[in-house]
Amino acid sequence: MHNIYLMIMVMALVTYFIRALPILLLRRQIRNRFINSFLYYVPYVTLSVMIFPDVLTSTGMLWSALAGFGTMLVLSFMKKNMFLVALASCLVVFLTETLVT
Amino acid sequence: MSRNSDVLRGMRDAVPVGLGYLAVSFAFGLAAARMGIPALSATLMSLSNLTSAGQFAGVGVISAGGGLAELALTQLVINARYFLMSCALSQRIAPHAPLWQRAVVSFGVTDEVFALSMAAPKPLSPHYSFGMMGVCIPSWTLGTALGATLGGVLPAPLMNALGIALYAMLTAAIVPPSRDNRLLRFIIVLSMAVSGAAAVLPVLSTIPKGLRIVLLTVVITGWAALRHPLEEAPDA
Repeated sequence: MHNIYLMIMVMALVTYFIRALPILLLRRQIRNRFINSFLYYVPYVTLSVMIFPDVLTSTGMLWSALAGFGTMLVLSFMKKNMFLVALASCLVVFLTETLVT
Repeated sequence: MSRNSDVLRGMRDAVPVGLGYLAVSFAFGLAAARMGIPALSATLMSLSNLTSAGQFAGVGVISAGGGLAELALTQLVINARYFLMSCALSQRIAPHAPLWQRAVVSFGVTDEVFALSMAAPKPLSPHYSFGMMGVCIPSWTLGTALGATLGGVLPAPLMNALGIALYAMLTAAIVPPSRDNRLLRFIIVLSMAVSGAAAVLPVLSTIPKGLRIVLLTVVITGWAALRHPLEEAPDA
């Protein structure tokens, strides 16, 4: 194993540069309609892509994950706040896993 | 809006994220300890990296004896999505914010902080971000330290239940605006469907996940921006 502190520092630097470059360089308001539309849709697309299908393997079994996923979809569609959505989803996963096993 | 109230608002809004981070970083600390990473190193990694997928992959590379180049490349691929998020954020931050504030905000760009930032009123106050970071960084670091030292004291169903918390938060960030917007609803369903398909299709599923996320985002977002460009003012 290499010097672990050096490795941690390399990880931190690479990650910081990825995050910082656009924020430090793109300081002016972009006027291009396509780019603005693109940036507007980015959060919806990238977060959706990250949620599914990974959410299905985020718990101990598929059934509890499906139950939790259903819970979060319904509650967020009802515009419940983030805390409630997270708590309810965790609770449903916990109950499903204790009931099924 | 005063700076202090922005900081407080950021801290308050980030409390659910902080609780989720506590759980996930606990799992990270546990995993790192099992892979032979000392507790202090795992904790320092969380404090300096503040990213879940990148750190899980990082300890994998480190414990397998990988080199610095491999490690850097892994982080680049897995965390490339932050680049897109930061591009979107760059247009949200108050234009008069000094450079140092932008530099600090950059450190705190995580999936969940990004989700909260995009849901916050525009322009985004850097102090609001500072508030969020004030909750998220300590909880991410503390959870790691606890997980690395205490290890498997939590029963499995409880850990599993906490594992879904972050997905619930991300969902709660993108779904509510789609209730009154058919196009957003369609884009969310489409993105999840394409992502699900890409995870099982022959060629696409072999692409590393971090790269796949970026690829799918660019393609789907590009399509949406071409087909459905925003009217003049890009207001959410």
